[in-house]
Amino acid sequence: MAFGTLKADTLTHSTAGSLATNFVVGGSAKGWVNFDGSASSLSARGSLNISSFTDHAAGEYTTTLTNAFDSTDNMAPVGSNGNTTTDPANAFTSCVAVTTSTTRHEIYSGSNTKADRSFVHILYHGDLA
Amino acid sequence: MTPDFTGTHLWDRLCWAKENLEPYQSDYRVVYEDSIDECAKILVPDPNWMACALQGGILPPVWVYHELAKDEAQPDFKRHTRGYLLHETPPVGPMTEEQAIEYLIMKDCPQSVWKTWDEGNRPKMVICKKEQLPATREWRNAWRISDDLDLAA
Repeated sequence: MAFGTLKADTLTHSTAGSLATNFVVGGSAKGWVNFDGSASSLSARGSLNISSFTDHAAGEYTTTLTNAFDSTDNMAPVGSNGNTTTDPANAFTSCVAVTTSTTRHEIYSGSNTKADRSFVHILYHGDLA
Repeated sequence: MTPDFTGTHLWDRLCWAKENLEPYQSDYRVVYEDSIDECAKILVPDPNWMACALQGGILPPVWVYHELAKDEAQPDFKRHTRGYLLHETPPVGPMTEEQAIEYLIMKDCPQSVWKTWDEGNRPKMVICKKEQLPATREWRNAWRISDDLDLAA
Protein backbone atom coordinates (compact mmCIF):
# COMPACT_ATOMS: atom_id res chain seq x y z
CA MET A 1 0.00 0.00 0.00
CA ALA A 2 1.23 3.52 -0.71
CA PHE A 3 0.65 4.91 2.80
CA GLY A 4 2.37 3.93 6.03
CA THR A 5 1.62 0.70 7.89
CA LEU A 6 2.12 0.04 11.57
CA LYS A 7 2.10 -3.66 12.44
CA ALA A 8 1.66 -4.73 16.04
CA ASP A 9 0.00 -7.58 17.88
CA THR A 10 -0.22 -5.83 21.24
CA LEU A 11 -0.82 -2.31 22.54
CA THR A 12 0.63 -1.66 25.98
CA HIS A 13 -0.28 1.26 28.25
CA SER A 14 2.33 2.53 30.72
CA THR A 15 0.17 1.58 33.71
CA ALA A 16 -3.17 0.19 32.53
CA GLY A 17 -2.00 -3.06 30.96
CA SER A 18 -2.02 -4.52 27.47
CA LEU A 19 -4.53 -5.16 24.74
CA ALA A 20 -4.21 -7.48 21.74
CA THR A 21 -4.77 -5.52 18.52
CA ASN A 22 -7.13 -8.18 17.19
CA PHE A 23 -9.58 -6.98 19.85
CA VAL A 24 -9.29 -3.48 18.39
CA VAL A 25 -9.82 -4.69 14.82
CA GLY A 26 -12.61 -7.10 15.73
CA GLY A 27 -14.37 -4.65 18.01
CA SER A 28 -14.36 -1.63 15.71
CA ALA A 29 -17.53 -0.62 13.91
CA LYS A 30 -17.49 -1.87 10.31
CA GLY A 31 -20.01 0.60 8.95
CA TRP A 32 -22.42 3.36 9.86
CA VAL A 33 -24.86 5.78 8.33
CA ASN A 34 -26.81 8.82 9.52
CA PHE A 35 -29.60 9.84 7.16
CA ASP A 36 -32.73 11.97 6.98
CA GLY A 37 -35.64 9.56 6.66
CA SER A 38 -38.28 12.28 6.57
CA ALA A 39 -37.14 14.06 3.40
CA SER A 40 -38.97 13.47 0.14
CA SER A 41 -35.77 11.97 -1.16
CA LEU A 42 -33.63 10.55 1.61
CA SER A 43 -30.14 11.95 1.98
CA ALA A 44 -27.14 10.76 3.98
CA ARG A 45 -25.41 13.17 6.34
CA GLY A 46 -22.47 10.82 6.82
CA SER A 47 -21.57 7.17 6.36
CA LEU A 48 -18.88 4.53 6.08
CA ASN A 49 -19.00 1.30 4.03
CA ILE A 50 -22.49 2.05 2.63
CA SER A 51 -23.20 1.90 -1.11
CA SER A 52 -26.86 2.89 -1.05
CA PHE A 53 -29.97 3.08 1.02
CA THR A 54 -33.47 2.35 -0.15
CA ASP A 55 -36.70 3.99 0.93
CA HIS A 56 -39.32 1.22 0.92
CA ALA A 57 -42.25 3.08 2.48
CA ALA A 58 -42.98 5.26 5.49
CA GLY A 59 -40.62 4.16 8.25
CA GLU A 60 -39.11 1.31 6.20
CA TYR A 61 -35.59 1.42 4.80
CA THR A 62 -32.77 -0.88 3.73
CA THR A 63 -29.08 -0.09 3.64
CA THR A 64 -26.60 -1.95 1.45
CA LEU A 65 -22.93 -2.34 2.26
CA THR A 66 -19.91 -2.03 -0.01
CA ASN A 67 -17.82 -4.58 1.92
CA ALA A 68 -20.16 -7.39 2.97
CA PHE A 69 -19.93 -9.31 6.21
CA ASP A 70 -18.84 -12.94 6.14
CA SER A 71 -22.21 -14.26 7.33
CA THR A 72 -25.47 -12.95 8.71
CA ASP A 73 -24.62 -14.73 11.98
CA ASN A 74 -21.49 -12.62 12.31
CA MET A 75 -23.04 -9.20 11.78
CA ALA A 76 -24.91 -7.04 14.25
CA PRO A 77 -26.75 -4.02 12.89
CA VAL A 78 -28.27 -1.68 15.45
CA GLY A 79 -30.28 1.50 14.98
CA SER A 80 -31.65 4.57 16.68
CA ASN A 81 -33.69 7.55 15.56
CA GLY A 82 -34.75 11.04 16.48
CA ASN A 83 -36.98 13.92 15.43
CA THR A 84 -34.30 16.56 15.81
CA THR A 85 -30.81 16.77 17.24
CA THR A 86 -32.35 17.60 20.62
CA ASP A 87 -35.47 15.42 20.51
CA PRO A 88 -35.02 11.65 20.62
CA ALA A 89 -38.21 10.30 19.12
CA ASN A 90 -40.73 8.24 21.06
CA ALA A 91 -39.99 5.42 18.65
CA PHE A 92 -37.69 2.47 18.22
CA THR A 93 -35.70 1.18 15.26
CA SER A 94 -35.70 -2.54 14.55
CA CYS A 95 -32.89 -3.96 12.40
CA VAL A 96 -32.41 -7.30 10.74
CA ALA A 97 -29.68 -8.67 8.47
CA VAL A 98 -31.45 -9.77 5.29
CA THR A 99 -28.21 -10.79 3.59
CA THR A 100 -24.51 -10.33 4.37
CA SER A 101 -24.64 -6.97 2.63
CA THR A 102 -28.21 -5.76 3.14
CA THR A 103 -30.05 -4.83 6.30
CA ARG A 104 -33.65 -3.84 6.77
CA HIS A 105 -34.74 -1.18 9.25
CA GLU A 106 -38.21 -0.29 10.46
CA ILE A 107 -39.10 2.57 12.74
CA TYR A 108 -42.16 2.18 14.96
CA SER A 109 -43.69 5.14 16.72
CA GLY A 110 -45.22 5.04 20.19
CA SER A 111 -48.55 4.03 18.63
CA ASN A 112 -46.81 1.03 17.01
CA THR A 113 -47.19 2.38 13.49
CA LYS A 114 -44.27 2.80 11.08
CA ALA A 115 -43.12 6.38 10.90
CA ASP A 116 -40.43 8.47 9.20
CA ARG A 117 -37.84 10.19 11.33
CA SER A 118 -35.48 13.06 10.51
CA PHE A 119 -32.52 11.32 12.08
CA VAL A 120 -31.95 7.63 11.39
CA HIS A 121 -28.69 6.12 12.60
CA ILE A 122 -27.49 2.61 11.77
CA LEU A 123 -24.31 1.05 13.13
CA TYR A 124 -22.69 -2.23 12.09
CA HIS A 125 -20.44 -4.52 14.06
CA GLY A 126 -19.21 -7.96 13.07
CA ASP A 127 -16.70 -9.78 10.87
CA LEU A 128 -16.20 -8.65 7.29
CA ALA A 129 -15.98 -11.04 4.35
CA MET B 1 -4.43 10.36 -7.08
CA THR B 2 -5.61 6.96 -5.93
CA PRO B 3 -2.86 4.77 -4.45
CA ASP B 4 -2.25 1.42 -6.11
CA PHE B 5 -4.77 -0.65 -4.19
CA THR B 6 -4.05 -3.93 -5.95
CA GLY B 7 -4.52 -6.67 -3.36
CA THR B 8 -5.54 -4.21 -0.63
CA HIS B 9 -8.50 -5.17 1.56
CA LEU B 10 -11.61 -3.35 0.37
CA TRP B 11 -12.21 -2.05 3.90
CA ASP B 12 -8.82 -0.32 3.88
CA ARG B 13 -9.65 1.25 0.52
CA LEU B 14 -12.95 2.58 1.87
CA CYS B 15 -11.20 4.03 4.92
CA TRP B 16 -8.70 5.76 2.63
CA ALA B 17 -11.56 7.16 0.55
CA LYS B 18 -13.39 8.39 3.63
CA GLU B 19 -10.32 10.32 4.68
CA ASN B 20 -9.24 11.64 1.30
CA LEU B 21 -12.28 12.09 -0.96
CA GLU B 22 -15.05 14.66 -0.78
CA PRO B 23 -18.50 12.99 -0.61
CA TYR B 24 -20.52 13.47 -3.78
CA GLN B 25 -24.28 14.01 -3.44
CA SER B 26 -25.87 12.70 -6.62
CA ASP B 27 -29.22 14.07 -7.73
CA TYR B 28 -30.08 10.76 -9.39
CA ARG B 29 -32.60 8.40 -7.80
CA VAL B 30 -33.68 4.95 -8.94
CA VAL B 31 -37.38 4.27 -8.54
CA TYR B 32 -38.47 0.65 -8.84
CA GLU B 33 -41.37 -1.65 -8.13
CA ASP B 34 -40.74 -5.30 -7.25
CA SER B 35 -44.21 -6.20 -5.99
CA ILE B 36 -47.63 -5.21 -7.25
CA ASP B 37 -48.81 -5.11 -3.64
CA GLU B 38 -46.23 -2.59 -2.48
CA CYS B 39 -45.51 1.05 -3.21
CA ALA B 40 -42.53 2.16 -5.29
CA LYS B 41 -39.08 1.97 -3.71
CA ILE B 42 -36.44 4.66 -4.04
CA LEU B 43 -32.75 3.76 -4.17
CA VAL B 44 -30.43 6.56 -3.07
CA PRO B 45 -26.68 6.42 -3.83
CA ASP B 46 -24.45 6.99 -0.83
CA PRO B 47 -22.27 10.12 -1.22
CA ASN B 48 -19.06 8.41 -0.05
CA TRP B 49 -19.67 5.47 -2.38
CA MET B 50 -20.28 7.90 -5.26
CA ALA B 51 -16.95 9.58 -4.51
CA CYS B 52 -15.24 6.17 -4.75
CA ALA B 53 -16.97 5.40 -8.05
CA LEU B 54 -16.03 8.73 -9.61
CA GLN B 55 -12.46 8.52 -8.33
CA GLY B 56 -11.74 5.03 -9.64
CA GLY B 57 -9.26 2.43 -8.39
CA ILE B 58 -11.26 1.63 -5.23
CA LEU B 59 -14.39 -0.43 -5.96
CA PRO B 60 -14.32 -4.02 -7.24
CA PRO B 61 -16.06 -4.86 -10.52
CA VAL B 62 -19.79 -5.45 -10.12
CA TRP B 63 -19.48 -9.10 -11.16
CA VAL B 64 -17.71 -9.75 -7.87
CA TYR B 65 -20.92 -8.88 -6.01
CA HIS B 66 -22.92 -11.14 -8.31
CA GLU B 67 -20.57 -14.05 -7.58
CA LEU B 68 -20.92 -13.51 -3.82
CA ALA B 69 -24.71 -13.26 -4.18
CA LYS B 70 -24.69 -16.60 -6.04
CA ASP B 71 -22.76 -18.18 -3.19
CA GLU B 72 -25.16 -16.75 -0.65
CA ALA B 73 -28.16 -18.06 -2.55
CA GLN B 74 -27.00 -21.65 -2.10
CA PRO B 75 -29.20 -23.54 0.39
CA ASP B 76 -26.19 -24.76 2.37
CA PHE B 77 -24.55 -21.32 2.59
CA LYS B 78 -23.04 -20.65 6.00
CA ARG B 79 -20.42 -17.97 5.40
CA HIS B 80 -18.52 -16.42 2.52
CA THR B 81 -15.47 -18.37 1.44
CA ARG B 82 -14.73 -16.19 -1.58
CA GLY B 83 -14.52 -12.83 0.16
CA TYR B 84 -11.05 -12.53 -1.36
CA LEU B 85 -12.79 -11.58 -4.61
CA LEU B 86 -13.66 -8.22 -3.02
CA HIS B 87 -10.06 -7.57 -2.07
CA GLU B 88 -7.92 -9.25 -4.71
CA THR B 89 -9.82 -8.50 -7.91
CA PRO B 90 -8.29 -5.43 -9.59
CA PRO B 91 -10.54 -2.42 -8.87
CA VAL B 92 -12.48 -0.69 -11.63
CA GLY B 93 -11.39 2.64 -13.05
CA PRO B 94 -13.14 6.00 -12.74
CA MET B 95 -16.80 6.12 -13.76
CA THR B 96 -19.02 8.97 -14.90
CA GLU B 97 -21.96 9.72 -12.63
CA GLU B 98 -24.29 7.91 -15.02
CA GLN B 99 -22.03 4.85 -15.20
CA ALA B 100 -21.88 4.79 -11.41
CA ILE B 101 -25.68 4.75 -11.19
CA GLU B 102 -25.82 1.86 -13.67
CA TYR B 103 -23.23 -0.05 -11.61
CA LEU B 104 -25.22 0.66 -8.44
CA ILE B 105 -28.44 -0.60 -10.02
CA MET B 106 -26.74 -3.88 -10.91
CA LYS B 107 -25.26 -4.11 -7.41
CA ASP B 108 -28.12 -3.02 -5.14
CA CYS B 109 -31.42 -3.38 -7.03
CA PRO B 110 -33.04 -6.83 -7.22
CA GLN B 111 -31.93 -8.62 -10.39
CA SER B 112 -35.58 -9.48 -11.06
CA VAL B 113 -36.14 -5.74 -11.52
CA TRP B 114 -33.16 -4.50 -13.52
CA LYS B 115 -32.89 -7.49 -15.84
CA THR B 116 -36.49 -7.12 -17.01
CA TRP B 117 -37.18 -3.47 -16.23
CA ASP B 118 -38.94 -2.79 -19.55
CA GLU B 119 -40.79 -6.08 -19.97
CA GLY B 120 -44.51 -6.26 -19.25
CA ASN B 121 -47.21 -3.63 -19.53
CA ARG B 122 -45.32 -0.88 -17.71
CA PRO B 123 -41.75 -0.15 -16.67
CA LYS B 124 -40.64 -1.56 -13.33
CA MET B 125 -37.75 0.84 -12.93
CA VAL B 126 -37.05 4.49 -13.69
CA ILE B 127 -33.95 6.63 -13.16
CA CYS B 128 -34.92 10.20 -12.31
CA LYS B 129 -33.67 13.32 -10.60
CA LYS B 130 -34.68 13.82 -6.99
CA GLU B 131 -36.65 16.94 -7.97
CA GLN B 132 -39.01 14.67 -9.91
CA LEU B 133 -40.14 12.85 -6.77
CA PRO B 134 -43.19 14.10 -4.84
CA ALA B 135 -42.33 17.13 -2.74
CA THR B 136 -43.56 15.66 0.53
CA ARG B 137 -43.96 12.16 2.00
CA GLU B 138 -47.59 12.70 3.02
CA TRP B 139 -48.80 9.91 0.71
CA ARG B 140 -45.53 7.94 0.70
CA ASN B 141 -47.18 4.52 0.90
CA ALA B 142 -49.16 5.26 -2.27
CA TRP B 143 -46.24 6.25 -4.51
CA ARG B 144 -46.19 4.35 -7.82
CA ILE B 145 -44.36 4.76 -11.12
CA SER B 146 -46.56 6.83 -13.38
CA ASP B 147 -48.39 5.05 -16.21
CA ASP B 148 -47.93 8.17 -18.31
CA LEU B 149 -44.15 7.97 -18.62
CA ASP B 150 -42.71 8.98 -21.96
CA LEU B 151 -39.85 6.47 -22.12
CA ALA B 152 -38.40 8.09 -25.20
CA ALA B 153 -37.86 11.34 -23.29
